[in-house]
Formats: sequence, C-alpha cells, structure tokens
Amino acid sequence: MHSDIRNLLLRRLAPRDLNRLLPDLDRVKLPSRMILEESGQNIEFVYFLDDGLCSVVVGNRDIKAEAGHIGFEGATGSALILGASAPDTVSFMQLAGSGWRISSSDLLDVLKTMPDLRRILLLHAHALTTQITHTLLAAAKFKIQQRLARWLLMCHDRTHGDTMQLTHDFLALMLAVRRAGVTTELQVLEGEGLIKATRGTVQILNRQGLIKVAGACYGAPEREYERLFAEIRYPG
Amino acid sequence: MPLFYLHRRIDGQRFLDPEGEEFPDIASAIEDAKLSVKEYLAERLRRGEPLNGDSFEIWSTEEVMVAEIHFKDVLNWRE
Repeated sequence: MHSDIRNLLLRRLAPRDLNRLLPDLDRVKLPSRMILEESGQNIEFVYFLDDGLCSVVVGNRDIKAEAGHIGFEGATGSALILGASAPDTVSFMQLAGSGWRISSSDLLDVLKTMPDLRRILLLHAHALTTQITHTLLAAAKFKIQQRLARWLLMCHDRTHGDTMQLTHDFLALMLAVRRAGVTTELQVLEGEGLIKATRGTVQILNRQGLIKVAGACYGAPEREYERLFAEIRYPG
Repeated sequence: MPLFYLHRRIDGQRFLDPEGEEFPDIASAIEDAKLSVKEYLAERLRRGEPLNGDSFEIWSTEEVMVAEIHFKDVLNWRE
C-alpha cells in the first residue's frame, strides 16, 4: 500500500504515522472538472493528489483567475489546516488524476496526535500562499508570454510526463487573458521549438528554454517549497 | 452556437487558430476579436515592440472568411 502512494506530503510521514493514517484514507479517482472545494462551503474532504492537477481559482462566474496549482507535491484543505472551515476559492481538477482523501473531521482528529503531519500540512499551506503571492506578482509585472511559460512549467512540475491535456480556452481562463492572446503566445513558443501545441494538448519540448523565457517569473515558490521541506526527509 | 476561428495574419503569413471559439453570431465574434486585438496591441506596447499592420481573420467552420480585423482600425487614434 505504501508503495502505491505518490503524494509527496504523505511520503514524508514516518511509517508509524502513515500506518495510523491509512485506515482513514480512501483511494479516489479525480476526474477532470471535479470540484474539490467550493468557495464559502465547509470543506468536507481533504485530498492528497498522486497525479493530476488541481486549480485554485478566485473570483466569481463573471470575473475570475487562477490563484494556484496543487499536484502530487501537495494537498487541498489549507483553509482547514489554518483554522477556517471554508475557503474563499474554488478548487477543481483541471487535469484528471487520482489520489487519497480523508474526511475533514477525521483529519482534524488525527492532527491532535500527529504533530509531524500537522507540521507538514502547515508548511504546505505556507508554500501554497507563497505560490499565490508570486502569481499576483506575475500578473502585475510580467508579460503574457512569461506568465504562460511560468504556468506551463508549473503544470509540468506537477504532472508525470511532458504532454498535458490543455485547451487554449482553459489557459486563457487561468491567466485571465483573452483566448486569442493565448493562441498567439503558444504559437510563438512553438515557433521557438519550446513546445508542441496541438488541439487540446501541449507538449513540453524544451524545458530549459521555457525557464529562460519565464525568467524571474518562475522559480521562487519552487525554491521556497524545497527549502521548507529540506529538513523533512523521506523515511528510509 | 457556431464556432469561429481567429487566424492571425502577420506580414502576409497566416497563423492558424487550432481551436476556435463559439459565439452566438458573427457580430459577437467580431466584437471579441476587436477586444483581443486591443489586448494584443497593449502587450506589444508593454514589450516595446512596434505596432504594425497585422490582422485577425475570422473564419467559419465552412472555411469562409467572414470578417477581417485590421489592427490599425481598432486603435482609436486622435490627432
């Protein structure tokens, strides 16, 4: 069972803690567009992703933008961990995947006696906040092409493989720009040999090239995540 | 709703829109294209790139060009 777990937060738990947690964890499939958290609604489950990509979106039906991403490096439920019962954002599966879920009540119970798990989840909440603040910086100060490169890199970080199921319309929604603008910028990146974009998919061909395009727009939250978890090693 | 494609024409070369987008009618597609042009031009200004004579072509699924939006026509330039 332990070897089935690919979520990096769960894998950092000592075996004794993971064994205590496992009976409360359900293995689940997470199809595309599945809503994991709703704005203003009590969090029912916390999800630890093994694969797939969860988008955290802020706003309402008419005005919205993506604030953050969660993949196999993280978990939902940050609001719960920080003491709130409901988030102010919507979290949904953008790329289908699978993972583990635990009810909020069970998680809050186990956290009373699992300080290591509490610490891991609090550190992740901070890492996610860092990611979101840098998304804000990107929107305010960087060009669409850089922001697109950043987004593709962050998606690539959280998925297994180089090909991602993405539509231009979805990317436009995530970047809060018009779809035609996304199409244009994807064509530029494709012309430079960095990606291959076909209908509904984007394949990363040259990750280092994308990093160069993104420039200072990408990397800080990723370094912060590594720094935060550097002291919490994977159990041997 | 009908699907329209927004191909881009730069220096005589056409760059195809692989996805298209649904609009209630041609007028809505044209309106959206004009907004897209404005965003595109604003981005070029931010980059310090020149504004030029590019255009967006709106094509139907029947492969008929139903409108052409010249970038310079979208600029509301006052002397």
